[in-house]
Amino acid sequence: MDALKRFQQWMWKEWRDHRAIVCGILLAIPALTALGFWAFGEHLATAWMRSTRAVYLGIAVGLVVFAVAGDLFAGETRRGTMRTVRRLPGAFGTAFLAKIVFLTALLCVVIAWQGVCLAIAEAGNGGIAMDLGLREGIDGGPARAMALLEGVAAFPTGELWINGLGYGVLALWTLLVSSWMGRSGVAGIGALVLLGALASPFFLFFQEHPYFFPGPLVLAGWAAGVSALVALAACALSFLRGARFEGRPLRPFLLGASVLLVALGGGYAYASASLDAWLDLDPQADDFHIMDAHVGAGEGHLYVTVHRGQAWNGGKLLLLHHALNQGVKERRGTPLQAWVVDLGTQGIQRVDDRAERYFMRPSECQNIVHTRPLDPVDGLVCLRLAGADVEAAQWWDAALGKPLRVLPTDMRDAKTIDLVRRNLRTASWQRDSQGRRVWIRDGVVERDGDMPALPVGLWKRQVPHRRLTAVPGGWYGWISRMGTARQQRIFVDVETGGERPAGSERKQHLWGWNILSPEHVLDYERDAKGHFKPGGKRSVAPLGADEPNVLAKNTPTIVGRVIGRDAVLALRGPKWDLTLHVWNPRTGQTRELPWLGRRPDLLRGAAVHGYTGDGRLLLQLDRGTSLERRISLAVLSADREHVRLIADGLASWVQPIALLKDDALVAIQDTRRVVRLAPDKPVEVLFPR
Amino acid sequence: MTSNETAIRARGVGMRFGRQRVLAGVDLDVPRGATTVLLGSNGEGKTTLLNICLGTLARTAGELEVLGKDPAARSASLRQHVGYVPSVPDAYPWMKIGDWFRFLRAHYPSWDTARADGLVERLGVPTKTRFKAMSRGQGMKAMLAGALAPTPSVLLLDEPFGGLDPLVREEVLRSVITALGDEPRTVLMATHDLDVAARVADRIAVLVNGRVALEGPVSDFAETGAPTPEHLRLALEGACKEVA
Repeated sequence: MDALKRFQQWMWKEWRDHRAIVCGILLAIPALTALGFWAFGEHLATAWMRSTRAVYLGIAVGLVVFAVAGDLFAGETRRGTMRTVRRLPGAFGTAFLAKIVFLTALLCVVIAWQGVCLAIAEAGNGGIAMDLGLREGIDGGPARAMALLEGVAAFPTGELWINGLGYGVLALWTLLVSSWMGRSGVAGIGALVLLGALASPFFLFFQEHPYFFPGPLVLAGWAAGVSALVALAACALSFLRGARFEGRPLRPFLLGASVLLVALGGGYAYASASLDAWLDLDPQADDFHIMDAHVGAGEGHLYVTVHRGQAWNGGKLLLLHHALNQGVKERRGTPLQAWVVDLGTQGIQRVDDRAERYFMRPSECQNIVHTRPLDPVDGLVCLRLAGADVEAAQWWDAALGKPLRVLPTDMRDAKTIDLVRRNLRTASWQRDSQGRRVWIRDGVVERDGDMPALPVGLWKRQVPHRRLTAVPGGWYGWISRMGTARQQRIFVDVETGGERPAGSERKQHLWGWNILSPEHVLDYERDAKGHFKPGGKRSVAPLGADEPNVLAKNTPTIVGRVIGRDAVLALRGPKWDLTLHVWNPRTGQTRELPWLGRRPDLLRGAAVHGYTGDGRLLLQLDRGTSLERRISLAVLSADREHVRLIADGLASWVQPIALLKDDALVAIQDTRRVVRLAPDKPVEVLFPR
Repeated sequence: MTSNETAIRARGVGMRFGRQRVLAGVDLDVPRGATTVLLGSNGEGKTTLLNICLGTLARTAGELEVLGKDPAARSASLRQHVGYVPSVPDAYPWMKIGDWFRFLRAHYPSWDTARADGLVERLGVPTKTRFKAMSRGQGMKAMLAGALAPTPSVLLLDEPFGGLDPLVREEVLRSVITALGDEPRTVLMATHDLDVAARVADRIAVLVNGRVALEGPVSDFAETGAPTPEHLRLALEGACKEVA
């Protein structure tokens, strides 16, 4: 009871000490709010509403910080009553507690009062009412009053308290500084300087490792909470221990600073250790993800790009499928890490020990497009990021699992040029009339026995990256005319390596096309909204001199991708149970593709997912009912004579990465593991085991 | 431990403020029930010793016990039994005597409201005047009433008459004598006013160069009868010469 009585007396004393200032602040808040809305009313009511609230709260809390928080300790020194606090029995701790409680209570009152003033001002100004669509209601008296009340009721109080108490942390720091200085006037500025000095290393840490932190709101909440606790602890030690005896002016500062040093050092040590542990990825952990993977030639090594939580690269968050599909809003994650896995021993080699790295095919290899090449790779580059820029490229012999070179990204030597060509050759299924493999390297057609010597040194991309679709005898593609909305279809000839226009220029986005053969393309006209026009389908021969119309005969239910000379993948039958066919658009003949082994039922769609250099195609089959969809994967043989089921009824997400010689598929499943799916065999997990 | 007869016992108490040595080994026994006057020139450390006894200053050397407790370690519980009158009134300026007493009452469990009111009446403390508007003499009387109301076992008076004009000084001194005359009480008063010391002291201690150079019953300072201020001046000068 005695302690409670003492506390009451000190609370009363604080109120009497600061009564005039507090009343002044409470009167200034509505006056300043009214003044602001009178001067900038229309602006404040609309787009700037949120920042306006923050500014007003900042001003209100700032008044408390500078006029009251700085005076609570320093005022005792200034008035010469510090000895009174020291000499009365039990007064020292009680006074400290009362000052903290008084400040907190005052902050709450000021925030609430500012909220009330803002709510009334905004509602009166039509701001909230406008947000709620109540603007029309503010005409007559009763309607206006109702709109005003609804506007006040709809005021975002949560945001108000979060912002207000966040600003209020500065009050504790001001209290701390004032306990050192004994001068209330400069305590607020001193607190700002101190807080800035202490927070700047953490800010730099955040800039360096943004992936380590949760979302901005959570981070701000944590920062405010921790900052408040540290300030409170430093304040308690400064005042209760440092200022307990007279004649020791430096002691409050030394004790308070020691708390700050311990907190700062401890914070850094904790953050560093946590970051270290966070970056140490465990393949068996729930939040471990595999973003991409490649199988090395010889199938001895796996090259995986992994991360934890969300994927970050170059200091930016990469949005991934699994994050979007699951509605994940957590931003915490790690930069991409490049790992080499020995499939024999399961030994993991972390490239560059947790640096920001990822594996990819050399960019010259990205220029041949017929969906995705699924051959094991001969060579890879491992890119390292320094900020947003690629710093260096480490070249790997993917068959041996060993690094070859570290070169600037725009440098090539004989070894890396050879590696690029080996990759391209392996993945090329295009053949010329003499049966030689043909591919496109950096916009130039190359073939076995016809590979011009390339200069060693600086490498410059010769032509802009283009998406090309391979068809027997060449590649179809398109180029856009810069500055116009028009595009030109082109054809790159396998035999000559030359490029020529294929048809006339068209308006971009107003048409689509489906290649049936090198000589036969289906064009679809679109309307302005991008919808296909009824009756807008044209069957043309774009390589002819005047682009003559030709007629596709006996069009099947669903026309797929061209898979060979006069061979188009097609589906026929009822739409809930289609069958796979090869359709000759020239003759109109169709033959059903036989299944080697079991045939999946309830087929609703099919797409070519990837290809191998020996001509096999990986088909993704859409199966099931409208209520329960399943994915199946199958291989279409190189001679297009049969289809073979690899995996059936997959409910989870699968990303194929390599189709092996025995029709086994290596794929990433659920972003969590790399599996081997083989016909008539159980799923084998390759990594992590 | 202090004996039953000794309220304050100091042995080798030293105090430094940075490089400046203020007390250099004070040895002092303040007996219970007596008024001991601490004499010394300005800057000899009288206020410092009182503040160490009160527990608002931490000594840098030696041992000190007040009512058997170390004031630096057990200051809160000790201060409930120690009254203190500062050299300058240190109540909050906006307070009236009623506010001040209500404030003090919450800190002293032994607070006697009737006694406080009686003291206010006897000492003539204005009840409707804020401290900031009181004269120095009125303020000191209010401080004295506040210090005596909890019936402390030990009363520390720090230069209560410093800076007062002769008339007010006499009035306050009479108040002190009146208040102290109520009952036997241990008093340690710091002053450099020899007249005050001659009128109220049972014992005298002389601080010179941070040490107690002379200490004893007041009767020791005069050959016959009560000592006069002149007797004390001679004793003070003698002590100073001896130390020098």
